[in-house]
This record gives sequence, structure tokens and C-alpha cells, in this order.
Amino acid sequence: MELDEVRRALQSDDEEARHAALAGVPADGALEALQLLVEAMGDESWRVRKEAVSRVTAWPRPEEAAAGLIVALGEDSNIARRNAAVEALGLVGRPAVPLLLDALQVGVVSRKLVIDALGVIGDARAVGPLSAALRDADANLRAAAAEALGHLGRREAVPALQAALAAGDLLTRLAALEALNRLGASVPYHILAPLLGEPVLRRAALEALGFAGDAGALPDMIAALADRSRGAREAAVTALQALHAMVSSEVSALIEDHLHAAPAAALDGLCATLASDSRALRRSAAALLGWARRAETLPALCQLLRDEGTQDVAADAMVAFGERAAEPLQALCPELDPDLRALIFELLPRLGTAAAAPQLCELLARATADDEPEPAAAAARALGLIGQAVGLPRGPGPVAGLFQALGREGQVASAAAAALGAIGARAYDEVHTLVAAHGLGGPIGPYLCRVLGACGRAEDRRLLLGALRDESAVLRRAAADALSGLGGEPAVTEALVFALSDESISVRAAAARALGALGAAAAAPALAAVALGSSHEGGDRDDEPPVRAAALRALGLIGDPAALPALRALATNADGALASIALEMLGRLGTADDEPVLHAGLRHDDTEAVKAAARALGTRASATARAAVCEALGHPRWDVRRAAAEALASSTDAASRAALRARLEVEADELVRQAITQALAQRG
Amino acid sequence: MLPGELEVPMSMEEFRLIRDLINAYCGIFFADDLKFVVHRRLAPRLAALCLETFADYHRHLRYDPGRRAEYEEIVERVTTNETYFFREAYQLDAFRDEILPEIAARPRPGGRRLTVWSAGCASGEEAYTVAILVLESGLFQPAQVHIFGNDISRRVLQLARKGIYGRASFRQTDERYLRRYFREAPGGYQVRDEVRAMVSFGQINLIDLDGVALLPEVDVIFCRNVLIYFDAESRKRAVGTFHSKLVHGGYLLLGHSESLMNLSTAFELCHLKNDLVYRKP
Ligand SMILES: C[S@@+](CC[C@H](N)C(=O)[O-])C[C@H]1O[C@@H](n2cnc3c(N)ncnc32)[C@H](O)[C@@H]1O
Repeated sequence: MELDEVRRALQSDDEEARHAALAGVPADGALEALQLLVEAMGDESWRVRKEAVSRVTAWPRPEEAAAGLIVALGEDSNIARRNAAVEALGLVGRPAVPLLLDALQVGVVSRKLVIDALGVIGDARAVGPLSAALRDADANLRAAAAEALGHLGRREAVPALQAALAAGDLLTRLAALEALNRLGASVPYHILAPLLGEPVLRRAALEALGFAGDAGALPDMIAALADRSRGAREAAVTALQALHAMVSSEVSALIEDHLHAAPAAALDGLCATLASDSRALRRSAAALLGWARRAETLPALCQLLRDEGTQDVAADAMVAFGERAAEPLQALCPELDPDLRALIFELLPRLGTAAAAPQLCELLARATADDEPEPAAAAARALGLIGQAVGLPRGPGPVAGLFQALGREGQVASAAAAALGAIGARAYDEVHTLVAAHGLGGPIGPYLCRVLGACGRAEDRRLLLGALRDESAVLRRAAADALSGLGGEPAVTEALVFALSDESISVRAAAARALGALGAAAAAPALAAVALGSSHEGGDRDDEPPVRAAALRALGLIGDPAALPALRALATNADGALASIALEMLGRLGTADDEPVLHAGLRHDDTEAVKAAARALGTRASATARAAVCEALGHPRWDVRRAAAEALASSTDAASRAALRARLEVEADELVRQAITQALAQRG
Repeated sequence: MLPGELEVPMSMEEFRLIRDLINAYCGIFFADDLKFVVHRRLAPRLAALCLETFADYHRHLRYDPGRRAEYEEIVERVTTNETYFFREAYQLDAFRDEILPEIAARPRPGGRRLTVWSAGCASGEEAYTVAILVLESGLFQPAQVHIFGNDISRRVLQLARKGIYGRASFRQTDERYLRRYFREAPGGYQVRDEVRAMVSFGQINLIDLDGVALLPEVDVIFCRNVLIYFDAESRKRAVGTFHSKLVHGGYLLLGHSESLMNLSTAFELCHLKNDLVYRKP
């Protein structure tokens, strides 16, 4: 398109036509073309303006573009164009700086806009001129300069900004203070103190106290928590947290003491901030309440547990209360809804010995009978953790409560069983007496097996071996699981091997897992047979993939070389679950003879198998093995590439190293990049 | 369980593998910065399944014969089921005053009929709202109206079938409707039988084509505040499904702030007085 045509099209009433016309402007054309683009930056349609800005900033001679844009700053008639020019100058960046600095000197165009543009660009060469502008006669200009220096992010500007704090007008002082805050500059308390009394400056001055690092300011900061203005209260919250983070532990203890002794109004202010829209503020306020450790704020903190974005700080804060929290929480629980009760129960064990207070444990014991499963399960978990860490208080309540809860099934019973197991590790007799009196029969039998498994006492083997012969498959499975934690002996191995013939899949799988966990070498041949699967109709080998997978894994754990033929045979199985375990185990136990199988694994359809093959090959010293892993660095799946990179961490040869470096050049996935970088560093 | 207190850590790698499986299953996508959400919500599953690490959990989701049940369990934990009656009133006005009359005016063999699909209906408020609006319009015989609600979560479907709702569900409901279409019941208000008779619920996963095949052709689809949880690919897939299920001239109503931009060009934008909606040409 000729320029004239473009010019006409840009006059069109149709937005689409004007937008399209910009594409016709020659990109390396004459100054006139540039002028047209700058002109179009004032178009009434934002789409056209945006397109024009992007074309101007892509102009091949940036100084020329900058000069054109600076002229546009001088036009008072079209505000849209002026703003677009500031934005565009920011995008042109460094090449525009000398011209802008000249313009600042000469002052033909709006110096305020020139300053804004310098602020957006953020180049260090502007620090001097902008600092000088802080003393300009025009107050608006001074404020703009201060703001720009804040954006610039240069510490050299701090002295000039501090000096500007003494300026006559509030506007400049506010802009300077905000700029200093933006830079995180530490301004001495004695300079800030007078500013606190100035309503316009108060919020910014409070924020600045967070960087001042002066404990002398604490009374002012605490008082501001009760300020009438929300902005001031929130600034105080942020500042107190920033201060706490920067000072020594003695001073931070001082902050905590001040907060603990704070007037009620200050705490109300903190609680109000817990409802802020800003997650960062809510978190800061919660942290401060934790340091304050004042019982009356616990209800407000509790509510914060509901919010996934603040839950962790709220919990930390409540835990910081230590034993002070025990009684108020206990009083609070009945009023709370089930979800919240559950969350409170979860955190009680973190109160340490305070959690083992008899009343609290009684509360938890009763709560295991809560109508709602969430709090009941949470109470059970809490009792388990307390019992394990510090021991439960005397009295039958908690353990009996948990025992009862086993009858509720589902998550409550699971939690209760885990809890009894944890308690039993410390107070075995108490738990064992109850189990023995009940026997392993009945609906809670499987849970009792879990309890015994967790207690881990050899003397319970007999009981569990009995359960392994029970008519209930659920109980048999639970018994097999439990036996894996009680240590091996021939009778146990024998019974578990026989259980590989159980008619229930889950029992067979559990027996195989248990044999693996016990490292029962005598079971290797039986496990290998199961793993290989049935070779003939009605044969005694196992065709169920979960059982075969469990058997394979067990073989690997036992580590008997006699298992190798089975592992090799299964490494190429079409079932990804089986192949991946076999490949993983070959990586641990296999020999150089297995390499062809491992190479084949890299071509498996299932990525888990491919990853296992890559990891296994990584343990081999041969050049072909390493070359294959290097090739896997180019696999389409990120997790395979990552596995390959990890597998190469121990290879020291030049070829692997080069392959890793080459991949790093093109790799876009962050996790893969990390793995490659780590692999390269390990060998560096 | 509380973050910071989570006993079993979840690595970024484990997170991505699991989140990709969740995404492939139901379309819901968790960006990297939401790892803590997934971690917290799934942590209890490890204990429940007697697994030690999230790598084990990933294996379970890949290979366990019972994995299907586990995906359902995940859905209950990761979906947001927030909903209420008469949500986004301006759009419902458009539906009642502009869309329904237009459909009623179409010549149809066998007379006036209406089929509406509430896709991702959660506990059913949206589907029942549609039924009430159709009754209010007086344009269709109730027996000729079929409203289908689907959701992937069993738990919310149970609530939808029961049709009993507490206060929170009525935050935008006119007292008048409450009296006319609900009756008091233990735990709140129950939708009256004549409204319930118009609505059927089913467990259908929006990105599972076999499931969606069970639905008939429909005149209007409401899919509001569902696709916002999906990634772009799954959104495209769901929108393609909607396209195939709509009659020609059928409407697709998305939540406010949702649009088909970058998802589909197969719909036309239709400027109604009360709202902008999509229509299958
Ligand atoms: C926030 S609710 C929206 C309810 C209602 N449409 C509204 O706007 O009030 C989102 C619902 O979408 C469901 N959902 C998410 N992914 C789904 C999928 N793949 N298939 C079906 N429903 C799904 C969730 O279970 C949840 O109940």
C-alpha cells in the first residue's frame, strides 16, 4: 500500500479498516510512515492504538521511534495518544533514555510525562536527573520524580528520596515515602515518627516502620493496629511482620511480648484483618495473632482453618499458643461445625505435652463417637499421635473409645486402628489386653489385625497365623498384611507361601507382599512361579495381574538371583504394570546379559515401563546402555525425559554429558531442566 | 490434615503425574501453583489405601483393578460443587422471556416439546430452576418437557435426586417461587413433585463420549461454572460434545465471564435483550 492510501484508510470510519491499514505501513519506511503510526496511537479504538504501539516499538531504528514518541508527549489534545506514547517509550526501553533525559532538560514537552516514561524504563542513567527533579519548583514534577525513582528500583536514589521527606508539600513527601517503601529502604525511626501524625502520610509511614528495624517503634505500630483507618491498620500488620522477619531473635521475642500485651482494640483490628480480601494480609494477621497468644482470638483463628490459602499459618498460630490453647479450644469445639471440629482435632497433637491433658483426651475419646465421620476420624488420629508422641493420660477412656470406634467401619475405623497401633507401640500391654480379650473374629477382626501389625510384636504371630486360616477372606488378607510387620520365621513363611494358593485374589496379593517385606528367601521359587503366571489350563500358577505384580515386587525385594529368569521373562510382558516392575527389579538385580531386555523395555507402550527401563539402563556401564538412555532424553513425554536425565546422573563419559547439554539447550519443561542441571552438576 | 503437617510429601513430579491423570479422567486441571490443594485433598487417600507415597498412589491410579473407584473418590475431593437456585438472573430472564418463546414457536412434528440439559448440575438447583422457569412461562405442557441434569460426582447427584435444600441454596430465590414450588421438609425445603417429575439425573462424565451418548438431542444446554475448572483441551472437547448434542438453532448458555473465545467457532453469538448467548447455526 502507498502511504497516501494508508493515510486515507486510517481516516476511515470502520475500525476494522483502520486496523488493517496499519499492516500496510512499511516497517523500515520513511519518517512519514513512523509519523502515521504515532498518529494512529491516538485512535479512538483501543485495538488500533494497541496495534500502532506494537508497530512503533518494533521500528528498526529505536532512537527514531523514541524521538517521534517524545514529540507525541507534547500534545495536549489527545490524551489517549499521550498515554500510549508513555507506554510505547517504556517498551522501546534503553535507547530512548538519552533522548528522554535531553527532553527533561529542555522542557519543551511535558516533563511530567518524560519522567513517567523514565520510571517505566527503569534505567540507572536516570537516577541523577530524577533525583535533581525532586528539588524542582513544580510540586507535581517532584512527586512524579519520586514515583519514578520508586519504579526504577535503584538504591542510589535513597539519599535524595530521604531528603525529599523534609520537603514542604505533602504530595512530594508521600510520593518519596512510597518510593522508599517500594525500594524497601530503611528510614530511621526518628525521621518517620513525626510523619505518623500526618493523616495523609500515616499509612506509608507505618509501612516504612517495617523496614526501619527499630524496636523503639513498637508502641506506635501496636497502637496503629487499632487505627480507625483500615489502610493504617493493614500497614501496621504488614510492617510488624516485616520487622519480625528482619530482626534478631531477642527483638522478635520483644515484638511477641508487645503483641501479647496489646490492648483489646489492637487485637480486634488484627481479627478484622483476618477477613481481608488479600491472602497475604490474612496470612500476616494470622501470624501476628499466633505471636500474641491471646485466648480470645482463638475463635477467629479457627475460622481461618477453613480457607486453604491460610490454613497452614492459622494452624501454626494456634499451635504457637501451646498449652494456653488447650482449654479454650476444648470449650470451643462443641459449637463448631463438623469440618472445623475435625481441623481442630488434627492440630491438637501439635500442642505437644499440653495435648495429653486428661480433659482434652477425654474430649477426643468422646469425639470418636461423633455422628459425623470426619471429626470422629480426626479425633482418632489425634489420639494416636498424642499416644505415640507423649503417651495418653491414665484411664481407660481413650483406648476404649478407639476400640469402640473400630465398629464404625470406613475412615473412622481405619483411623482408630492406626491410632491403636501407634499407641500400642508405646503402651503395648494396654492395647494387647483388649485385643486378646476380644479375639480376632467378628467384624472388627481385620482392624484388630492392623493394630497388631502396627504393634509389631513377635508374640502375636500365633494369633495372626490363626486368622490366616479364617473363613473370612477380609480377615485372611488383614492377617497376611499384619504378619509382614512382625518379622520372619519358618512357620510364618510356610503359611504365607501356602496362602499364595488362597482362592481370594486380595489374600494372595497380600501374602506375596508380606513375603517380600519379610525378605523370605525360602519363598523365592514359589513367588517366581506365581509371577510367571499360568502356563497351562487349570495350572497352579496365578493369572491375576495384581497377584503377579505383587509377587514380582516381592522377588525383587528378596533379591535372590534365582528370580532372574522370571524377571527377564516378564520385562517384555504387554502389561505395563508387570513389565515396569520386572524392569525395575532387573535394574537392581540383573547382569550384563539383561541389556537386550532393557533396551526392548524402552520401546514398551506403557510409559511406566519405559521409565523403569531407562532407570535400569542407567545403572549399566556399557556405552550402548548409555546411548539408549541419551536417546530417551528426546522422548515426547516429560516424565520419561526426566527419568532419563536422572538415570544419566552417574555417567561420566563425554557422550552422555554432551547429550545432556544438548537437551538442556532445547528443553522447555522445568522439571526436566532441573533433572538435567542436577545430573550435569553431579559429574562436574 | 493440615499443610505443613502433611506427613507424606508430594514432589512436583508426583503432582504432575497425578494431576495429568485427573485431567485425563474428568477434564479438571490444576495449575502448578495449586499443588497444595491437590496434596491436601488427596493426602488422606494414602492412609485409606495403605499406600506409603504419592508415587505408589500414581501406580494405583494407573494399574489397580479398583482404580475406577479411586477416580470417583478423587472427584468427590477435587470438584467444586457450589451452586444455588436462580443463579445469574439476567441469563435466566433471557431463557424464559426470549429463548423459550422462540423454541415454542418452532413448528415441530408431534407438537411442542422441550429438552434441556444442565451439564455439570451439581446438587440439581440449576436443573430445577430451569423446570420452574419453564412452568412459569406456561409455554409447554409439563409432560412434553425433559430436563436432564448430569454430574460426575455421585455425592451431589444423591442430593439432586432427593431435592431437599437448605438456606444457602435459596440466597437468590424469590419468596413467591419458594411458596409455589417447594414444601417444607426436614432439613429445609423440598422441590414439589410436579417439578421433580420434569427432571432426570444421571452420572455422566462430560468428557466421556460413551456416557454423553446416553443423552438425546437437546434444545438448550446450560453449562455454567463447569468448564472454568478444565484445561483448554478438555473445554474444546466438551464444547464439541455440546455442539453434537444440540439441535440446529439450539442454545448453549455458559456462566458469566465464560466464553467460547479460542475454543470453538462452530457457534454463533446471539445478542438477546437480556444476555449474549451462543447458538448452533
Ligand atoms: C460449580 S458446579 C456448577 C453447578 C451449576 N452448573 C451452577 O452453575 O450453579 C460444577 C460442577 O461440575 C461438575 N463437574 C466437574 N467436572 C465434570 C465432568 N467432567 N463431568 C461432569 N460434571 C463435572 C462438578 O462435580 C460440579 O458439581
